[in-house]
Amino acid sequence: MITAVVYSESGGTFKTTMTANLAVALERMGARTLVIDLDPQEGNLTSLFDVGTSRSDPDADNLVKHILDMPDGEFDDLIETTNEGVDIIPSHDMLGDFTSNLEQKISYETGMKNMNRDEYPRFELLYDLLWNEHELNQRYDAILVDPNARAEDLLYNAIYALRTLIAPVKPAGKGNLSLDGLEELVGNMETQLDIEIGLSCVVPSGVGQTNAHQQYQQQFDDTDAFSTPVTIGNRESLMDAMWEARGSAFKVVEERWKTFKRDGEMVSEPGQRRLRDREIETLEKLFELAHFVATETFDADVDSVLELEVQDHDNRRIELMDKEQTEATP
Amino acid sequence: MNNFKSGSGNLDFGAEGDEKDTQESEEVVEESESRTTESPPEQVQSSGTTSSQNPGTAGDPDRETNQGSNEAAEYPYFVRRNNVGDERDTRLEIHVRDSVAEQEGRFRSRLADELDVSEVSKTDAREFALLAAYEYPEKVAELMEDEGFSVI
Ligand SMILES: Nc1ncnc2c1ncn2[C@@H]1O[C@H](COP(=O)(O)OP(=O)(O)O)[C@@H](O)[C@H]1O
Ligand SMILES: [Mg+2]
Repeated sequence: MITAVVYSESGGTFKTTMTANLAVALERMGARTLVIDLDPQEGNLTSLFDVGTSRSDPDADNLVKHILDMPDGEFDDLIETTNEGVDIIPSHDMLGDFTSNLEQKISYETGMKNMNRDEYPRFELLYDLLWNEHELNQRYDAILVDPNARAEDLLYNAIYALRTLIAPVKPAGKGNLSLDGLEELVGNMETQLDIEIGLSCVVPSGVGQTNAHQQYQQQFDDTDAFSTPVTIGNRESLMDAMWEARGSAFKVVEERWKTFKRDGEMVSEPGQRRLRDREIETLEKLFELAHFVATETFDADVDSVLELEVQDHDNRRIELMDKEQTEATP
Repeated sequence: MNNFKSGSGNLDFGAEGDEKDTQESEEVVEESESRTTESPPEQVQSSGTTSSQNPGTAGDPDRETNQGSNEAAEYPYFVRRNNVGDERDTRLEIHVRDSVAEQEGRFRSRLADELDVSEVSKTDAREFALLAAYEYPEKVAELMEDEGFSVI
């Protein structure tokens, strides 16, 4: 079972993009994959995949109601399937009020049971829902969570439930990297909740060609405190097109989505994008990353062949060999 | 990066409450390590590495524990293990009455007193409670009879 929260404490590190691409890569290697969107804000995974039509309807059943154990419907009805085959539990506005709803529940229940508030297992609710109540480990091979950015109840619930982190990071300024904040958060959780949290890998993304960025990359290569299986380059055009394609970078390339100006207006269409080697290379890296997470971190059995069916082009077959040699074969 | 285990965390599916078991009880570890000095001269690996109970973590470099079969036979369990999950590949799930579950905390603290440590992990306490029962079936039978077992 592959379980990971895609998180790093600094914002805007391409978490949502990374989660979507990882999920699709895992699905393409044969792992039945579920993503859970815990971010109520705009630009979340739910809008990327164009699901969750009732996310703003306060009466609609949603994940929060299930986490708080007051469902308005079947849990399975929350799950939607994206057109790339990945299942998703979409976001809902109620995620934004999670803590206040949780506080109410705690007041009520601790009052009933004459229990101390501090004893209430407030970070264990998602764990219970996913594994004890619905045994999702029986139905999925991989579950990823895109958490809300703020370090609070929902994030802690996600980490408690999944136990393993994937940390995307973005080169900043001088290219100095510090995961101190993340480490502190993890340390606190481990002691307070008596759990062990693993760091699958750190993924530098948006790394450009400038000198500072290269040094930054070097810094990753030199450390052995954590794994950095791949570095994702600055791929703004490719990743931004995901929001038009309503899917992964794989979909963008295969369906050749492109945003361009026509008669003074920006339009996005499939069948327009030029096939670029560096973008194929990025897909390969994303696939390699997913493969690393599956096999190195979780010892799961997955396919190591990526088949790309690019519209109006010959199919491509990319085979991941042992770590050392990653070869593309046309 | 001391807090991070490189690799996956510990996740043991569907065991309510059990997921809290995996952290080492430091005192127990120190205790057992100090004992190793009296044992055969080879150093037992330090407890610095952390592996976990999740069978899914195989392949994690940290997980290579010193379980050479000879060695495993030579050293007592608490000496040779690095981590509370080591060698514990079987997961037993038990369903108990609330009144029984509630006694566990007191049992563990009394056990800790006996061992002169501040805490005994749930996993350790439970496994050895089971072993104790295996040694004293008469006592187990007595408790069952007290609750009317022979009546049925
Ligand atoms: N490797 C990349 N290089 C450049 N831009 C990227 C890259 N990955 C994602 N982006 C773009 O950055 C923006 C924010 O990404 P997003 O994944 O939503 O970040 P987060 O979830 O961390 O807030 C999006 O417009 C996305 O297309
Ligand atoms: Mg996001």
